[in-house]
Amino acid sequence: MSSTVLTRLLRSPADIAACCREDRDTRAIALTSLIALVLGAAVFGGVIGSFRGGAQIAFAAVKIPLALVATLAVCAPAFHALAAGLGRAWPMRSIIALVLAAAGRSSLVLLALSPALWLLFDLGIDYHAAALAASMAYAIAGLAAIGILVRGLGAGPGRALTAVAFIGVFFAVGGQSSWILRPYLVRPRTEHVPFLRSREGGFADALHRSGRSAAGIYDRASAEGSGLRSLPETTRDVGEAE
Amino acid sequence: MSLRDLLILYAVLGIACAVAIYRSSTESRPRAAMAAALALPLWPLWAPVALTSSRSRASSTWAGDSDARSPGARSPVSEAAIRVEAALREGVEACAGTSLESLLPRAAAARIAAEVKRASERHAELTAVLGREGFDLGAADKRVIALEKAGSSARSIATARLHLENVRRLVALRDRDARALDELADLVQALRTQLTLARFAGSSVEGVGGIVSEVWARVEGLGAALGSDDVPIDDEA
Repeated sequence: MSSTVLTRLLRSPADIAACCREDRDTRAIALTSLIALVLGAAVFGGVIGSFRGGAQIAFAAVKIPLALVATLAVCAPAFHALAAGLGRAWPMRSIIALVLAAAGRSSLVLLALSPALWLLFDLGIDYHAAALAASMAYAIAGLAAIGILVRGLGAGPGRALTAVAFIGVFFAVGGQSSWILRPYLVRPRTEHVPFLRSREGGFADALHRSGRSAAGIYDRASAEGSGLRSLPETTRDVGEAE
Repeated sequence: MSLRDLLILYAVLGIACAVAIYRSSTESRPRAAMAAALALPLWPLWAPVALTSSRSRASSTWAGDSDARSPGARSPVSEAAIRVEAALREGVEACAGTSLESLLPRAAAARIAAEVKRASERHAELTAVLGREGFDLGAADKRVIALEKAGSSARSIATARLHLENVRRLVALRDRDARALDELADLVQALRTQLTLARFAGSSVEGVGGIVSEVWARVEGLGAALGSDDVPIDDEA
């Protein structure tokens, strides 16, 4: 792990992005970003898990980096193909270094926000406020990642389209990975916390169902069909936690 | 395919990537082992980088060299550094597991590669410095001539001459580094060929030992030159 790369990742994202684009120092950037990504996401996960405490701290500390790494592993070949198709036929290592640098920087932002989130939990905010605070932290970290990603794509035609395509693929894959690895934020009163929830459809199904619920349309039949209604109280508490 | 099957396949591919990374690495054994170990869980992200990073350019190679930033453009020195690294890797692979391994152990190859990288970086820095305004040799020379023709004060002419001399020394340092690296690249390539020949034809170790000694002498010379020239030019002048 290079402290120089770490400093540049935080202070000179444009420089790191240029290095990835021009295929310079990709090994050091990828390695440092990977370590930053795992450590930063693990600490943030631990803080998220601390809302309930106990085993959930370890579970979330393992699952958040796992979800992120799994997402990037699945997305990297797609990013490579998308970039090549949209006029940026770069080596695979450049694309991987760029997305790792973006994810590494976002994880460092999550790491920086962890103490503040921990303080909020300690002040006793409720479940929904905690979920909102965690989402805000993710949004800020995501902006930090997009900063490197867009700079890394460089000038030229198709830049915006490539960035949108990258983000679209990342959200689709990341959403499903995160959905599979639920729960992360769990209510304190939940007695038994599973490492993984039982399967209840996919991320897209959940988005569709939530969208309809938000519009006041409750699909009782589909909920019963998916087994939600038959879940015991403690598990449903966990189910609410995402 | 069940989750178990998928995990087994993932682990098998991870092991294959780890072996490939370890075998192709020119770094010292502990570092190569670390890089290989990282590939076991993270091969989809780490293996493409670790296996092809030798083709990536060093960080400061192009510092300040805006013309060279276009894709595909490479300076002769960076080409020489890449040749050295590739030849070292092939040389290490050629003698791995044979009686010749002691002549070019992995750690020694890593040391040579580090010295070459250092020299290449220094050359890039010198090139960048000499590309800046005020470091142009021709302009410095013309300035001295112009001051002499204009009948300027002796102090002004002496200052201009000192500047010209400093620029000349910087150019000489840059050119010497370029030559040294180019010669070293040829020598390491010859070493790789000889190691490969010795492995397949059973040549004597003494024959290979000679060229290894020559490589070490050049590398030591490169390192010594770098160390001695780290003194600022102003202090020397």
